[in-house]
Amino acid sequence: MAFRRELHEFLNELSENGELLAQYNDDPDQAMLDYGLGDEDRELLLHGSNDQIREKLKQEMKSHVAYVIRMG
Amino acid sequence: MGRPADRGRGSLVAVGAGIRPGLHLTQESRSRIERADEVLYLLAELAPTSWIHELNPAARSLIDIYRPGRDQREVYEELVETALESVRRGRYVCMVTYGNPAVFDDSCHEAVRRAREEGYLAEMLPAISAIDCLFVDLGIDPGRVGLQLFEATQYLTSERAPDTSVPLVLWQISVVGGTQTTNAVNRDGLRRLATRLAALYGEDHEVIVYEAAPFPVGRPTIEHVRVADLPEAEIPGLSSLYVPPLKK
Repeated sequence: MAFRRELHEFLNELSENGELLAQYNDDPDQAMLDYGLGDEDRELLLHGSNDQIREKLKQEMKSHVAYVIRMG
Repeated sequence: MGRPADRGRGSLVAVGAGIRPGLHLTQESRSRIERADEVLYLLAELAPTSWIHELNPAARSLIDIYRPGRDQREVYEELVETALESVRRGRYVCMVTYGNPAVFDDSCHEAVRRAREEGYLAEMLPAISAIDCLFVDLGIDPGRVGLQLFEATQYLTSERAPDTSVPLVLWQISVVGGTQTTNAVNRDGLRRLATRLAALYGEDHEVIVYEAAPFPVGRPTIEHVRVADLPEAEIPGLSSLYVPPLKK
């Protein structure tokens, strides 16, 4: 792998790139490999819970919260 | 709204990004984001957010306002005033939140109400909310037998007796009983909620902990649990609870 990309970059790209989204839907692991996601992130997206993904994003993005919840 | 003639006099539009930001956005909302002088956003997830900056480079996240441990009323007031300060300066402001801005979002309702009261043009656009995803993911048509919908804390504190022959959906169960911003599940609130539901439906009644898929890929969370097991169940941060009706 020439370079490694982070999970938040992949999610950003998926939200804007219909071709990548289609590629993911056809073959998730290959799409993530081609993009440059590491083993841990690929495993997380395929089998992790949403809260585990949120915690990873919190670390990557050095955020003070993992998610925002409206309380009414 | 948002036409050149309106420029300079200040106006506000509240739009929703849906549950899968970047994918659920309507064309109508997209166009408002693109044309706004200022875009202020507070989404549920930390990513993806680049799509909003792509639509409008002036987009600014309000996540710093949402610090853990703050009183939710204080947070909402700051969100509302941040948007209105820009409107009062004559800017065309677009507030973007997750889901539908009209559903369980006091800050958007209050910002629109206050802007109108002060004489500014203000409107809100519809969007996809978690309940729309729930209907699809759980295969529920509210047109068949009806639906009861409450915010979980409001339900717990109101002493309202639901009709147990009609499906019930409780929102924001991870923070039931709380009043502060947090990312921690309120187990004490869940115990109180389970006690309340057990009295109405029985401890063995099976309910569904549901969370719509919040990222561009992935599946929704759908966990069947007994009411008695709810306090210790795994509760994703943005979960709702679906309570099926009692069988006759």
